Amino acid sequence: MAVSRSRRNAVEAFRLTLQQTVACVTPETLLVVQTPRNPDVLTATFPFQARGLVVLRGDQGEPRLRCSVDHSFLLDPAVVVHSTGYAYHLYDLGGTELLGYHWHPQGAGARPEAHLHVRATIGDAKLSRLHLPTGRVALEAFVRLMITEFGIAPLQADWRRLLDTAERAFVAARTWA
Amino acid sequence: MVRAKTAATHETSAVLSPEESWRFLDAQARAIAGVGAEEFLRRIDRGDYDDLPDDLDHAATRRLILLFTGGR
Repeated sequence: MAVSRSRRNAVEAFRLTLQQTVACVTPETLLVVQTPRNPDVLTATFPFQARGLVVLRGDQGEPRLRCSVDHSFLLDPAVVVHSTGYAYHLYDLGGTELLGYHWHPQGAGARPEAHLHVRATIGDAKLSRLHLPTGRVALEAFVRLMITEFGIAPLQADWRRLLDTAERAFVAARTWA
Repeated sequence: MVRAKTAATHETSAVLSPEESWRFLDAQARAIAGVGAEEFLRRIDRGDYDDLPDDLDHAATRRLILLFTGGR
Protein backbone atom coordinates (compact mmCIF):
# COMPACT_ATOMS: atom_id res chain seq x y z
CA MET A 1 0.00 0.00 0.00
CA ALA A 2 1.38 3.39 -0.93
CA VAL A 3 1.89 5.75 1.98
CA SER A 4 1.90 9.47 1.37
CA ARG A 5 4.95 11.51 2.24
CA SER A 6 2.98 13.62 4.72
CA ARG A 7 1.82 10.53 6.59
CA ARG A 8 5.31 9.06 6.63
CA ASN A 9 6.65 12.33 7.94
CA ALA A 10 4.03 12.51 10.66
CA VAL A 11 4.86 8.98 11.80
CA GLU A 12 8.57 9.71 11.78
CA ALA A 13 8.05 12.98 13.67
CA PHE A 14 6.14 11.13 16.36
CA ARG A 15 8.77 8.42 16.48
CA LEU A 16 11.45 11.07 16.94
CA THR A 17 9.71 12.58 19.96
CA LEU A 18 9.71 9.14 21.60
CA GLN A 19 13.28 8.47 20.45
CA GLN A 20 14.59 11.68 22.02
CA THR A 21 13.09 10.56 25.31
CA VAL A 22 14.46 7.02 25.37
CA ALA A 23 17.84 8.33 24.17
CA CYS A 24 18.29 9.61 27.74
CA VAL A 25 18.90 6.00 28.85
CA THR A 26 19.64 3.87 25.79
CA PRO A 27 21.29 4.24 22.39
CA GLU A 28 18.84 1.75 20.87
CA THR A 29 16.63 2.91 18.01
CA LEU A 30 12.87 2.73 18.38
CA LEU A 31 11.24 1.12 15.38
CA VAL A 32 7.71 1.78 14.19
CA VAL A 33 5.81 -1.36 13.24
CA GLN A 34 2.57 -1.38 11.28
CA THR A 35 -0.28 -3.56 12.50
CA PRO A 36 -1.31 -6.24 9.97
CA ARG A 37 -4.94 -5.17 9.60
CA ASN A 38 -4.73 -1.39 9.66
CA PRO A 39 -1.79 0.54 8.19
CA ASP A 40 -2.82 3.62 10.16
CA VAL A 41 -2.36 1.87 13.49
CA LEU A 42 1.28 1.50 14.46
CA THR A 43 3.46 0.70 17.44
CA ALA A 44 6.84 2.10 18.42
CA THR A 45 8.99 -0.61 19.95
CA PHE A 46 12.61 -1.65 20.29
CA PRO A 47 14.27 -4.04 17.83
CA PHE A 48 13.67 -7.73 18.00
CA GLN A 49 16.88 -8.79 19.74
CA ALA A 50 16.15 -10.26 23.17
CA ARG A 51 12.41 -9.79 22.60
CA GLY A 52 12.73 -6.03 22.47
CA LEU A 53 14.31 -5.76 25.91
CA VAL A 54 17.17 -3.27 25.97
CA VAL A 55 19.92 -3.22 28.57
CA LEU A 56 20.11 -0.22 30.89
CA ARG A 57 23.45 0.60 32.45
CA GLY A 58 24.59 2.12 35.73
CA ASP A 59 27.19 4.82 36.38
CA GLN A 60 30.14 2.49 35.76
CA GLY A 61 28.66 1.15 32.56
CA GLU A 62 27.59 -2.05 34.26
CA PRO A 63 24.36 -3.70 33.05
CA ARG A 64 21.75 -3.03 35.70
CA LEU A 65 18.24 -3.57 34.32
CA ARG A 66 16.35 -4.09 31.10
CA CYS A 67 13.34 -2.24 29.77
CA SER A 68 10.82 -2.46 26.98
CA VAL A 69 8.76 0.33 25.46
CA ASP A 70 5.69 -0.33 23.34
CA HIS A 71 3.59 2.68 22.39
CA SER A 72 0.72 2.24 19.93
CA PHE A 73 -0.88 5.06 18.03
CA LEU A 74 -3.36 5.86 15.31
CA LEU A 75 -2.73 8.27 12.47
CA ASP A 76 -6.08 9.82 11.60
CA PRO A 77 -7.14 11.09 8.15
CA ALA A 78 -6.06 14.60 9.13
CA VAL A 79 -2.57 13.22 9.79
CA VAL A 80 -2.88 13.74 13.54
CA VAL A 81 -1.42 11.18 15.93
CA HIS A 82 -3.58 9.68 18.70
CA SER A 83 -2.15 7.26 21.25
CA THR A 84 -4.10 3.99 21.47
CA GLY A 85 -2.15 2.08 24.10
CA TYR A 86 1.15 1.65 25.87
CA ALA A 87 3.16 -0.87 27.84
CA TYR A 88 6.33 0.28 29.56
CA HIS A 89 8.19 -2.42 31.48
CA LEU A 90 11.28 -2.74 33.65
CA TYR A 91 12.96 -6.14 34.00
CA ASP A 92 15.90 -7.55 35.86
CA LEU A 93 18.83 -8.65 33.73
CA GLY A 94 17.42 -12.16 33.52
CA GLY A 95 14.28 -10.83 31.88
CA THR A 96 11.90 -11.15 34.83
CA GLU A 97 9.32 -8.35 34.77
CA LEU A 98 9.69 -6.06 37.79
CA LEU A 99 7.04 -3.51 36.97
CA GLY A 100 4.85 -2.51 34.08
CA TYR A 101 2.87 0.61 33.28
CA HIS A 102 -0.08 -0.35 31.08
CA TRP A 103 -2.85 1.33 29.19
CA HIS A 104 -4.81 -0.90 26.81
CA PRO A 105 -8.37 0.41 26.68
CA GLN A 106 -9.58 -1.66 23.71
CA GLY A 107 -9.22 -5.12 22.23
CA ALA A 108 -8.36 -8.41 23.94
CA GLY A 109 -8.21 -7.96 27.71
CA ALA A 110 -9.18 -4.31 27.46
CA ARG A 111 -9.04 -2.23 30.61
CA PRO A 112 -9.97 1.44 30.36
CA GLU A 113 -7.87 2.70 33.26
CA ALA A 114 -4.13 3.21 33.03
CA HIS A 115 -2.50 1.07 35.70
CA LEU A 116 0.68 -0.32 37.19
CA HIS A 117 1.74 -3.89 37.96
CA VAL A 118 4.58 -4.46 40.42
CA ARG A 119 6.31 -7.74 41.21
CA ALA A 120 5.86 -7.62 44.96
CA THR A 121 3.54 -9.00 47.58
CA ILE A 122 1.65 -7.44 50.46
CA GLY A 123 0.30 -10.13 52.69
CA ASP A 124 -1.48 -12.52 50.36
CA ALA A 125 -1.86 -9.96 47.58
CA LYS A 126 0.38 -10.35 44.58
CA LEU A 127 0.77 -6.84 43.23
CA SER A 128 1.87 -8.20 39.86
CA ARG A 129 -1.75 -9.28 39.36
CA LEU A 130 -3.33 -6.10 40.72
CA HIS A 131 -4.09 -3.02 38.67
CA LEU A 132 -2.77 -0.09 40.64
CA PRO A 133 -4.30 3.05 39.17
CA THR A 134 -1.86 5.60 37.82
CA GLY A 135 -3.57 8.04 35.51
CA ARG A 136 -1.81 8.44 32.21
CA VAL A 137 1.95 7.94 32.48
CA ALA A 138 4.17 9.83 30.09
CA LEU A 139 7.12 7.99 28.59
CA GLU A 140 9.23 10.84 29.95
CA ALA A 141 8.11 10.01 33.49
CA PHE A 142 9.03 6.37 32.98
CA VAL A 143 12.51 7.28 31.72
CA ARG A 144 12.99 9.79 34.56
CA LEU A 145 12.06 7.03 37.01
CA MET A 146 14.83 4.84 35.63
CA ILE A 147 17.42 7.54 36.24
CA THR A 148 16.31 8.99 39.54
CA GLU A 149 15.06 5.85 41.29
CA PHE A 150 16.79 2.88 39.70
CA GLY A 151 20.30 4.25 39.23
CA ILE A 152 20.38 4.11 35.47
CA ALA A 153 23.07 6.38 34.08
CA PRO A 154 21.73 9.17 31.87
CA LEU A 155 23.25 9.23 28.41
CA GLN A 156 22.45 12.89 27.81
CA ALA A 157 24.02 15.61 29.95
CA ASP A 158 20.87 17.72 29.82
CA TRP A 159 18.48 14.84 30.41
CA ARG A 160 16.44 16.77 32.99
CA ARG A 161 15.72 19.59 30.57
CA LEU A 162 15.04 17.19 27.70
CA LEU A 163 12.57 15.13 29.70
CA ASP A 164 10.90 18.14 31.33
CA THR A 165 10.47 19.91 28.00
CA ALA A 166 9.10 16.85 26.25
CA GLU A 167 6.75 16.04 29.10
CA ARG A 168 5.40 19.59 29.21
CA ALA A 169 4.66 19.39 25.47
CA PHE A 170 2.96 16.04 25.98
CA VAL A 171 0.85 17.31 28.88
CA ALA A 172 -0.18 20.38 26.90
CA ALA A 173 -1.31 18.30 23.93
CA ARG A 174 -2.90 15.25 25.56
CA THR A 175 -6.66 14.88 25.56
CA TRP A 176 -6.95 12.84 28.76
CA ALA A 177 -4.93 12.36 31.90
CA MET B 1 -3.98 14.80 19.87
CA VAL B 2 -0.67 13.97 21.46
CA ARG B 3 2.92 14.79 20.77
CA ALA B 4 2.46 15.94 17.19
CA LYS B 5 5.45 17.98 16.14
CA THR B 6 6.62 19.66 13.00
CA ALA B 7 6.89 16.96 10.39
CA ALA B 8 10.31 15.58 9.70
CA THR B 9 11.50 16.01 6.15
CA HIS B 10 13.66 12.93 5.80
CA GLU B 11 12.82 9.29 5.44
CA THR B 12 14.17 6.70 7.80
CA SER B 13 14.38 2.95 7.92
CA ALA B 14 13.19 3.04 11.54
CA VAL B 15 9.62 3.20 10.22
CA LEU B 16 9.13 -0.29 8.88
CA SER B 17 7.34 -1.00 5.63
CA PRO B 18 4.32 -3.33 5.73
CA GLU B 19 6.53 -6.22 4.60
CA GLU B 20 9.21 -5.43 7.17
CA SER B 21 6.55 -5.05 9.83
CA TRP B 22 5.13 -8.47 9.02
CA ARG B 23 8.56 -10.09 9.22
CA PHE B 24 9.17 -8.33 12.53
CA LEU B 25 5.85 -9.52 13.93
CA ASP B 26 6.42 -13.05 12.66
CA ALA B 27 9.78 -13.23 14.42
CA GLN B 28 8.33 -11.83 17.64
CA ALA B 29 5.40 -14.27 17.54
CA ARG B 30 7.71 -17.22 17.02
CA ALA B 31 9.97 -16.14 19.89
CA ILE B 32 7.21 -15.34 22.37
CA ALA B 33 4.22 -17.51 21.42
CA GLY B 34 5.96 -20.27 19.47
CA VAL B 35 3.79 -19.73 16.39
CA GLY B 36 4.06 -17.59 13.29
CA ALA B 37 2.29 -14.30 12.70
CA GLU B 38 -0.56 -15.88 10.70
CA GLU B 39 -1.41 -18.28 13.50
CA PHE B 40 -1.05 -15.67 16.21
CA LEU B 41 -3.42 -13.38 14.35
CA ARG B 42 -5.90 -16.27 13.98
CA ARG B 43 -5.73 -16.86 17.73
CA ILE B 44 -6.46 -13.20 18.44
CA ASP B 45 -9.41 -13.29 16.04
CA ARG B 46 -10.69 -16.51 17.64
CA GLY B 47 -10.66 -14.84 21.06
CA ASP B 48 -8.02 -17.18 22.47
CA TYR B 49 -6.47 -14.30 24.42
CA ASP B 50 -9.65 -12.61 25.58
CA ASP B 51 -9.25 -14.10 29.05
CA LEU B 52 -5.49 -13.83 29.23
CA PRO B 53 -4.65 -12.49 32.69
CA ASP B 54 -3.48 -8.92 32.69
CA ASP B 55 -0.45 -9.30 34.95
CA LEU B 56 3.33 -9.32 34.79
CA ASP B 57 3.53 -13.08 34.26
CA HIS B 58 1.77 -12.67 30.91
CA ALA B 59 3.43 -9.41 29.95
CA ALA B 60 5.28 -10.83 26.94
CA THR B 61 2.08 -12.11 25.33
CA ARG B 62 0.29 -8.88 26.17
CA ARG B 63 3.06 -6.90 24.49
CA LEU B 64 2.76 -9.15 21.46
CA ILE B 65 -0.98 -8.54 21.27
CA LEU B 66 -0.34 -4.80 21.43
CA LEU B 67 2.10 -5.07 18.53
CA PHE B 68 -0.45 -6.98 16.44
CA THR B 69 -3.47 -4.86 17.26
CA GLY B 70 -2.13 -1.48 18.31
CA GLY B 71 -4.54 -1.71 21.21
CA ARG B 72 -7.55 -1.61 18.89
